[in-house]
Amino acid sequence: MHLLIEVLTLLFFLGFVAHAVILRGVAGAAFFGAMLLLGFLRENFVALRDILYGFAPLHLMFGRAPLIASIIWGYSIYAALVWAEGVSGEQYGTRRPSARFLVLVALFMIALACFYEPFLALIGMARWQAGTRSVLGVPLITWLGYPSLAILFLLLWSWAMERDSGAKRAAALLVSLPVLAVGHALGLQAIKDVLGL
Amino acid sequence: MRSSSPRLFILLPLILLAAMMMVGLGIEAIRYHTLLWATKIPLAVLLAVAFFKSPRGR
Repeated sequence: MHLLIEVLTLLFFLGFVAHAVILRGVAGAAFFGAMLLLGFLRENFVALRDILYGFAPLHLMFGRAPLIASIIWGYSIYAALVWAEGVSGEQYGTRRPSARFLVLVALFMIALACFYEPFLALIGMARWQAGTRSVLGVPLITWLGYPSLAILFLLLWSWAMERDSGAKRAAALLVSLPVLAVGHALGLQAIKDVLGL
Repeated sequence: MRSSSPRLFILLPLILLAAMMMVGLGIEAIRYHTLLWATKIPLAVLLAVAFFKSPRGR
């Protein structure tokens, strides 16, 4: 069962990458490369520090965390981006997105959390810390965690793309993505602890 | 490239997401004899908005 979901998610993820490359060219590939790096760093940091949640032993691993955990961020953020573009008419590119666009992305990410989390808990793939407060199987902290990572990544990407050369853009991403990955995981754990979520 | 792409292709990731939601419902029903339908409503509504309200011809 788990392998089926892992393979299906990987295939859909590759479909998303192809979609981004066809519609956005090299920038689309780089966008997914950055999101994959972010997901890999964040989920492996969560696994190594044993914070927020644990991982079920799955078939496809990427470092110390399941591959599905690393790719699901890019998968989700890109879906939210496509949805926000579709309903707002605003195209996300190298310029900083509008506040309205970011609110739409946040809304979609929260809806994704409501879809993913109860299902993952049911099939034993999500293992949140004991005592994590939930509504209908959706941990309350995810309503903050999902949208915040998406918004911060989109702002960070726009900021990096404002650099005037490819090397500077890559350097900006390579420096800031690890900070975002680690900062988001630690920040979320801190908020969870302080608010008792 | 983008403006000339078919609308359905532009929305392909959302179509795949809807398919994934259907797979999830299938697994829940067949393997676990339950349906976590309530928590899928927000995403289903947002996906429906994209398909019915998305600006055409961009």
